[in-house]
Amino acid sequence: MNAEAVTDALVRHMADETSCAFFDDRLACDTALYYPNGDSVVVYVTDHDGLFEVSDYSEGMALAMQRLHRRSGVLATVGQRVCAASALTFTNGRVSTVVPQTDLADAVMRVAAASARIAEAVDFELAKPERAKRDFSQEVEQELVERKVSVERTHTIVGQSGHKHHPTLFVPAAQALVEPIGAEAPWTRATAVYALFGDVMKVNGFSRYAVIDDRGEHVKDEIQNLLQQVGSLVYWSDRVPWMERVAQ
Amino acid sequence: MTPLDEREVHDFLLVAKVVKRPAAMRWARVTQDHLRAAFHVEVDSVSVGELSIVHTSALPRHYNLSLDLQGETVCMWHILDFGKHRNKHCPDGFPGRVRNRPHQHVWVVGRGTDCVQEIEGMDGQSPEETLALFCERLSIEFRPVYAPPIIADQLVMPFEEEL
Repeated sequence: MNAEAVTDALVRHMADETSCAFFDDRLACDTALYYPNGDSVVVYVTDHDGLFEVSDYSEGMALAMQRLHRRSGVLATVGQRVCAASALTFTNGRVSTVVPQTDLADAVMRVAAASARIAEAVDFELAKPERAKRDFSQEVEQELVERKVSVERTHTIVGQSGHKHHPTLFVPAAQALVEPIGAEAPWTRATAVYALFGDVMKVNGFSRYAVIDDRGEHVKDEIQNLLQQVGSLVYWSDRVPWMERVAQ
Repeated sequence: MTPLDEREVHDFLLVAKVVKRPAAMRWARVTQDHLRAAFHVEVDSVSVGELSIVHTSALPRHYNLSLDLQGETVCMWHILDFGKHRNKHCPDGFPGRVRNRPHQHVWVVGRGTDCVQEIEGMDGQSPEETLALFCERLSIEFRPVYAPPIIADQLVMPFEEEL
């Protein structure tokens, strides 16, 4: 391995990846760093009479919120800590600093790196609920299978509207649609299940069960109220009698 | 809720969708530099997703349009003049890079919306015209009257958990 050759290659790579261009009276600097979605980190420089303000215009935080689908106090704390560690300012999502020209290149890289780190932080926030969502559906399926109940995941049912539905779980022997609902279920998930149950209510006498995960965080009352209008609610802690009935 | 599969996303992108709520555009500042307006997307009068527009207030031609299904983004347009996108582990047909051009994040199984291609027919449209094009290509009937974001008079909301 040749240290000089690697250094040269690295410098060439950085040069290929980096460019700054004027727009109005500011500079947009496209850097060699990337957000998790594959977009490059662009940092903006404004000249205030010889002092340079460097900012990501909150892009890292906006990307994190877009992936999380909500604002988050946790992300704000991450932003504050990331910026503090790099001697940067964090203001409602914006990463910035003001430096003299001698420190400009370093400031651009620090702001870009902090912005990328904030965008990446969302993966840690997302990991836990995503795993929980998948696990509950699998948990319901697994327990049914352990009770020798045949379960299908890709069954298609045509509703009264003529629309084709795909219930999360279908028990052919009992002609039962089973929709696991965890505490993290959003309202749109509830309305989708409501539409499914409502559309098949008068078709083939299908049974419709929303299985509510009542361990830990509470499934919102409005979700439960909505679903019990079109199906039966089964609480996970009280699942045995229901499972025995479905298994018959 | 199970993760979206290809058929669900494909069907959703093709089916006729309607946006009618809220009836007026309501811009909320979500960061120091971003204003966001969001709408319910209905299929057969059931809200199944969301359409959102995010403007970067400091940059006149920098805004995003997103279409979500059951909480997951299935299509996103980034309108910008600066910046590049690098496609990694994307299927055939996606370019290696898109540079300094408006681009479309396309939903791909296992990759979410991380794979990108240029948006055909983009040539200096206004945000309102871009929204119309976005809706036309995604079979969305958009009924609210377009109102541009007013940059100056939005309150900055403090960050806190919002469920």
